[in-house]
Amino acid sequence: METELQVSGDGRYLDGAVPFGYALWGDRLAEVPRELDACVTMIWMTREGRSYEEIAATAEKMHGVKPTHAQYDEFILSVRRRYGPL
Amino acid sequence: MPTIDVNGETLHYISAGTGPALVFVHYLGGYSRQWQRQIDALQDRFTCIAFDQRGYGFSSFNDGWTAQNSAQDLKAGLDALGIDKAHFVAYSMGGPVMLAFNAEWPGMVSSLMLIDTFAKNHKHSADRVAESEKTLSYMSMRQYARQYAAARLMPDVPPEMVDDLIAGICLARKDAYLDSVRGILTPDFSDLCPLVVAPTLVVCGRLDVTTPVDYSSDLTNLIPNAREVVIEAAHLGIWENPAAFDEVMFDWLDGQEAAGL
Repeated sequence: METELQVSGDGRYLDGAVPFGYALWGDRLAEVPRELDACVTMIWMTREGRSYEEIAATAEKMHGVKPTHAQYDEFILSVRRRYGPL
Repeated sequence: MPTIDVNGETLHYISAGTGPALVFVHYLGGYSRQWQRQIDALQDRFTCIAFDQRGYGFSSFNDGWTAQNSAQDLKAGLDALGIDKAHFVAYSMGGPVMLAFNAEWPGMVSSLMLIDTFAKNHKHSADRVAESEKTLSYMSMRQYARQYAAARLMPDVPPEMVDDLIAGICLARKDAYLDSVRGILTPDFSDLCPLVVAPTLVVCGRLDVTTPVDYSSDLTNLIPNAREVVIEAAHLGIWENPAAFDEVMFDWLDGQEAAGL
């Protein structure tokens, strides 16, 4: 299992799982636009109480990308930590 | 848009209308334009003023953000405009700014409306600060804003209003935003509440999980001359339930005007 993402204060990648929505480019995290569009869908569907399976299938259908269960869990955990309960 | 140089910053602001001064203080990630709808409706009766706080909207950010220095900016801005007394409307992050402002200059506050705000916001605050710092080290404000809107707005908000929310957050400087997250989630402003002597209306959204109703009730209990109104909205009633939001605000201001305050 990959460790939690570690980044420096100026945004350099240090260690851990690369977050869904980003790709490693050297020591930087570069945006993956389709995945970031899927992130918005993932938040909305989580608020609607949808399951991971439904959310992943919708992300694939709408945006052509499918998060793994671990990527989904890590992403939603980050959202909850940043913004509070969904 | 006019600007004023205060405390080493250049603040953009809106000033429109005639009559008693009415000052709007925006939320985290907001700016003066978020109040345009209310300003349009009220400028025939009030001189409506809204600043972009340092680090937000089109204002500069040369130094850190704290509730205290934002309050000092507000005071200096109002001094420059020749305003010595006003009605104030403060939203979320604007609440601690106004508590700090009132503690120094209570005589300038004719009335106060506090919306979806708090004196103490410690639930999960360490997590929120740490995760915001980590995420914003690599995430753009645009993506941060899109995810915030998806996480916080109620589902039936019109797209143009979602865009307005996102536009404001996109204009915020990252370091100002993070300073603000630390500056409102870490301190406890409760001791400043009893210093508010002006009539105060505390407004909260029934479904708000960012600053839940009990935070507003704490404010109402701590501020001597306060009453509380709950509307059908979450944290962003200004976009989620604009009709109820505006009605509560306009009724409150009608009452202050009728009382001659």
